[in-house]
Amino acid sequence: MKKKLKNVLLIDDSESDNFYHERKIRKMGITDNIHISYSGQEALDYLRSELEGVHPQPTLIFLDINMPGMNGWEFLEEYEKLEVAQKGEIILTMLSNSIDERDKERANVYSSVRGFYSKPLNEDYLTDIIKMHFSEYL
Amino acid sequence: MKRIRNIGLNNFIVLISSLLLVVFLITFSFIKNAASAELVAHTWEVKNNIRRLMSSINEMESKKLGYLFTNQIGYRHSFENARKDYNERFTEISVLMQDNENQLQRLKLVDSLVNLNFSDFEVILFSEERNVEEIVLKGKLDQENADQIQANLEMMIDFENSLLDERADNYEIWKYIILITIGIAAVILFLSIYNLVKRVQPLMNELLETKERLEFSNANLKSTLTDLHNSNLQKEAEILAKEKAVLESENLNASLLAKNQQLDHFAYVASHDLQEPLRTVSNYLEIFQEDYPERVEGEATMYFEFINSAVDRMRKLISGLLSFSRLGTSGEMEEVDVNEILNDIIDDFDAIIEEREIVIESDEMPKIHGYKLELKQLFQNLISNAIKFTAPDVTPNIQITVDETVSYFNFHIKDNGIGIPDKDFTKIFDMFSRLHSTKDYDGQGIGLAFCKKIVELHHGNIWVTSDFGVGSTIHFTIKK
Repeated sequence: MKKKLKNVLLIDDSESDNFYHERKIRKMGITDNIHISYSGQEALDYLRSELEGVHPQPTLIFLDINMPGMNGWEFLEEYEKLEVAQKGEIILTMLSNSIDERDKERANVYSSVRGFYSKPLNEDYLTDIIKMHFSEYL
Repeated sequence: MKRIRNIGLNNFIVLISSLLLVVFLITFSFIKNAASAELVAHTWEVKNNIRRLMSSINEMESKKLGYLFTNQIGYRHSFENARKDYNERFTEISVLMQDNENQLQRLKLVDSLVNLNFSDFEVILFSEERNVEEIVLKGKLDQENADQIQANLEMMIDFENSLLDERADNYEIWKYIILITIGIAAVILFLSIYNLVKRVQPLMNELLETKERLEFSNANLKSTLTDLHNSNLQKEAEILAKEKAVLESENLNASLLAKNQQLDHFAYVASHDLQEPLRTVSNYLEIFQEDYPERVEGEATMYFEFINSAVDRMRKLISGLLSFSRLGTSGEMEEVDVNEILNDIIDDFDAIIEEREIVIESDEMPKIHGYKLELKQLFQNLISNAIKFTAPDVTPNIQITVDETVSYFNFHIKDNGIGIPDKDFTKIFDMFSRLHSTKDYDGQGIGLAFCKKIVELHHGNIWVTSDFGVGSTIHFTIKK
């Protein structure tokens, strides 16, 4: 791996899952910057935030579906309304407890969603994602 | 209607012609009667005039004699007056008697006699010399003439009298004829009316009867209508009750459907959510083993293995439950070729078929209407069960046959496996039900439960027949 991803955002209410996923990503050495949001709203606030006039613009987002408050679907609705500067060239993938065809079809409606995986995030999935979207980082 | 018209027309004609006849007769009689009255009046006039003529002759006679004997000028004037009167009467009577030749003759006779009697006198009257003897002589002659005049006038009066009688009789007769005619008219009128009434009477009776009959049938109709209305009400009530029952059963069906969906949803949510804590357990088992390899040794390794296998089994159970709840939701019903399904399955099982030299024989399979993925799973589960539950030292032999009834295809999958005891024939289709330990035959006890649900999705039944130790046959039906 020559180059690392600038920033990865994990959106999940489960602390244990976040910890496990963060650990997997770090172990794979994909990035040094992992931001964790515990709800959809928190993630939106993070995306809209500015640091010295620049939005965080994470390179990769993992979005959980089942969350209290704003769930994954509601987050997607809001996310699609964001300004381009806030969205950046983000690759968004969804994580679900299990693969449900209906959920998968529903996710296809959103153009931002580029992947749909069942939890937990493992090495195979991550390798897949890097191969598909970030070949230059290999 | 024709009869009524006939009766009316005949009667009408008779009545009208009778009345016309009667009116004609009455008119005729009146005319005749009036004529008779006129004639009577005429006769009276004639008679009166004759009498006046007579009296003027007498006057003339007496004045003549008076003048002759007294020679007074007064008599002479009176005579001249009487003569004038006579002439007027005569002219009048002549006109009146124009119609009667006999009387006219007599009148002329009288007139000539009068002229005879009085012309001499007139000569004398207007001469200064008069011969009394001559007058006396002539007076005798005149007397005869006067008698004759008298007689003739009397005859004339008699004649007029007889005419009067005759004409009065005529007048009376016409009067009676009028009365009789009126009587006849009344009788005809009465008879006609009577006849009409008599003829109309049966018609009236008939009409009345018809009216009564109509009223009766009306009443009948009304009661029939009431009956109909009542039975209609009853029917409506029955229909309402039936509709209610249908509605109730529909509601029941709907609620059952809803309950089923709720159950499926429950199973889905439960299994979906159960995955999460299970995942956490397995995730952190992994991390623990990674982070503290030195602590996982000796008996701890065995404990970890037990925990791992339990978690693994749990995950399989949950994902089985999840799949079970999703059966029939993957797609739409379509035409499915069972031959294709079997070929696919045999391809999938290629390795084990070769390894155990498995024999799978099947009839020509039909095309059925159903869920493709589920149907494949059904056959796959049954064939895999047949292979799995055949003793390792026996070559599995699987026979797949099909027959059909009017509305169902009946499939039979026969194996030479270990068989099933009779008491377990129904139990095997229950969820998580297993007859053998994991040690002997691995599994979660969901395969046949899946099969049962898939068959039921296709409105069919599934059951098993078996000779314990010899083999089993799974039978299932799929609605056409």
